[in-house]
Amino acid sequence: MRANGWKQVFKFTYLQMIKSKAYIISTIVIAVCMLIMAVGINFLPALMAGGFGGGAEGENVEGGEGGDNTSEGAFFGISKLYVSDRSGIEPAPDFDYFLEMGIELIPIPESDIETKTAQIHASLDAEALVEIIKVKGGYNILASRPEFEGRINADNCRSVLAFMSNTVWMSHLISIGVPEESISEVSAYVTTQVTIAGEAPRSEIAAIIANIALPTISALILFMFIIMYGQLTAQAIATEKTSRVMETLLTSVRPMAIILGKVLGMGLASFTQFFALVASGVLISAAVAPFGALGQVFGSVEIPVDDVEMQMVQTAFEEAFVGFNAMSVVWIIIVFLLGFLFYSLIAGLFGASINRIEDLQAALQPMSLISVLGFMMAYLAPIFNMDSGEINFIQRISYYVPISSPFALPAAIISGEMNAAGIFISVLVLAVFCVLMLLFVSRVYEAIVMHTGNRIKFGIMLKMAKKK
Amino acid sequence: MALHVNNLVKRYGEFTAVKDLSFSIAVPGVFALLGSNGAGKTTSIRAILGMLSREGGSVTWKGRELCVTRERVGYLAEERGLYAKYTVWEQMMYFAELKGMKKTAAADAIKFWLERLGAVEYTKKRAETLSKGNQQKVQLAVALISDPELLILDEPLSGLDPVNTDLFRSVIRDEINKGKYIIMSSHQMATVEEFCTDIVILHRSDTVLQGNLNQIKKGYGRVKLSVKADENILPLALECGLAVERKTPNQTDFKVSDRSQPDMFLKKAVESGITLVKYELREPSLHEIFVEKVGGEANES
Repeated sequence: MRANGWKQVFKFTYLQMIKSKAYIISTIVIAVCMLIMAVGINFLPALMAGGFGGGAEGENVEGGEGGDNTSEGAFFGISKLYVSDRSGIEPAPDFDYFLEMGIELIPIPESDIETKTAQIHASLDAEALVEIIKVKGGYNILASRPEFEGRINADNCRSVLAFMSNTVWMSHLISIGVPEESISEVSAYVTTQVTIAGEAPRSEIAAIIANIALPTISALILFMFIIMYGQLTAQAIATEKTSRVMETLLTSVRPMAIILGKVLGMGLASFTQFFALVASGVLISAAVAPFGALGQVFGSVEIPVDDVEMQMVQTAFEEAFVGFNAMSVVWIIIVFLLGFLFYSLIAGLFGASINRIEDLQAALQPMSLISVLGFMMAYLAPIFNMDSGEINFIQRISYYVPISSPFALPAAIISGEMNAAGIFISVLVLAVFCVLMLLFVSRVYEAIVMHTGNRIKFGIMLKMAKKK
Repeated sequence: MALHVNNLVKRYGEFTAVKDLSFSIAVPGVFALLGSNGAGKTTSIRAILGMLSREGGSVTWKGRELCVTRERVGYLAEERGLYAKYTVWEQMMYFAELKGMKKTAAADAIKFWLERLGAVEYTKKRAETLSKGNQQKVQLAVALISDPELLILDEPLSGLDPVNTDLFRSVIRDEINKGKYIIMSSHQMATVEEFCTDIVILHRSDTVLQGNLNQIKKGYGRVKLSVKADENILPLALECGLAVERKTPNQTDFKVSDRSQPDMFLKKAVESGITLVKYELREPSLHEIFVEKVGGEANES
């Protein structure tokens, strides 16, 4: 058989790779990153909520005792708010909730505006001036902040204004006779959705997860692994050639066995690290889930009845991960390995075209271009159909073209955008291309493996292979 | 016939690197593939081993097309190559397993060869930390690890110190005694002459001389006279028609154009009372044959 000995090459390549310091260190770094990410995602919402609450309390105590209002710990970073209410709304809007947030409210008459504006302009404190003015057809709320941005900036003011505008609007409704208990009814909103008949519609958050977050993250992770290890494969093949080990190898095995063993060995090393990433992510997430948001998102921990936002997030995740199951994991593993094989064979081919290791990057440029194109197709295409919920033309192409399908398929499988038949056809196309690529690359590789001199251009490779 | 190379042709575009190379190795022993730099020796070896495609000719081993991955072939390449980052043991084990050896047999063979070549202390060292000579020992061990029937040594002694040169020579002698078929390419003519029975001399892709070394030498006859004397012998030698070929502090080599010249010189030297420390009428050495065949043209170019 032409590939006799590939198992030895595979075993040696894999063992040497996973024993290398770089591999061990990067695997540990990946696990640590996963730990930080999982813990962060799990506890971030609680930390944020706790931080705000604690800050408000602290500010209250401090303000009350010393009267030295600073922005530290105050809601929105503002500690003192001068309010000139010229809305004419009766009863006047009530902003007392700002006091609970640690913001001191000081009403000022219109006559003091000029003086106060000058004071705020030059102020170094966390204070702002708010003017609520009746205008034609509604109201305008203007916030003036200090020129110095050390304490507060425009974003702090906008946050305050968002709260105030809501209060002003509700006060306006009450002033025109809408009963207080009917305001929530009045503010009911209407959303629109389109879905394929028989399929459950996705919420906006679910659409964002399925069309932006999932494709981007999965494509990026796969891209990183496939390309990084593809380049390492090219480097290993180039090193073997430039270090003249190749001549010794060729007295024992055929070139096809060398490239097949090398690509598969690197592929398994890559998959081992990928698996370590996923496994550490799952384990760490499972471990921390009972104590925070992850458990609520994935349904293992009950969400409090009044936590509407978290319930929405959970529902969105359920909608976005509708295709996620044991079989989908198997498909993703197959896609990963085939994608790696496809790109590593290309990388190996270009790696064999050089005779000096410093030419490697230049030799790999065509592969880099192809892979970036595939990656872009995978993560950009779904963004354009976020609103429609349908699969667009580029997206559909990206599922079946081997340069993009390794990056595009996992997200499509998880989000349930591809049915079983579609997945099977897509994987089959990728597998067929991998076999064709292996035959082509081994043929070219055999022809160029002992070539010395300048880097061989692709056209010349083809001629050499044809001649062989 | 064990190895038969018939009309081997290798071309790179318009350039013919090997032109109709033919030779056979019928019995175990050393066959020398000689030639000036760029004559096509290494290319010939690579083409014989099937590493390079051939534009013509055939290579058979024991009656069938030579397939290096099937037969027991050992090869020490001219351009040494080891995995820089891996230990000697790791890579030797790898190469042994690629040759189809079982792990235990491979381990025994590795131990044997590292001991035989005096490289046991480097077993766990990375190749990049070894000297050039020690790397060469490891490579020779790799070539021999599977006990090959056909051994190809491309410049096996280049870059070695005298002690290691002797070590390598003793290993080659052992392999000859074991009945191995060896193709050796070397620029060290004295070493080749010590071992080889048959030779091919290549020059600019062409075969300029080939055959059994003894017969080639006999064909030349005793045309060299080496003399060492305490007195100046040059006027006497010139008087006898001898042509000076090389003069060193130790001896003078003359070219003999007529069989009577050395006799006449000896007679006159004795009559003149010259003390001859050395008087050797001999066949040309391989070095002299080589220089005669390729040296003139090489100098011209």
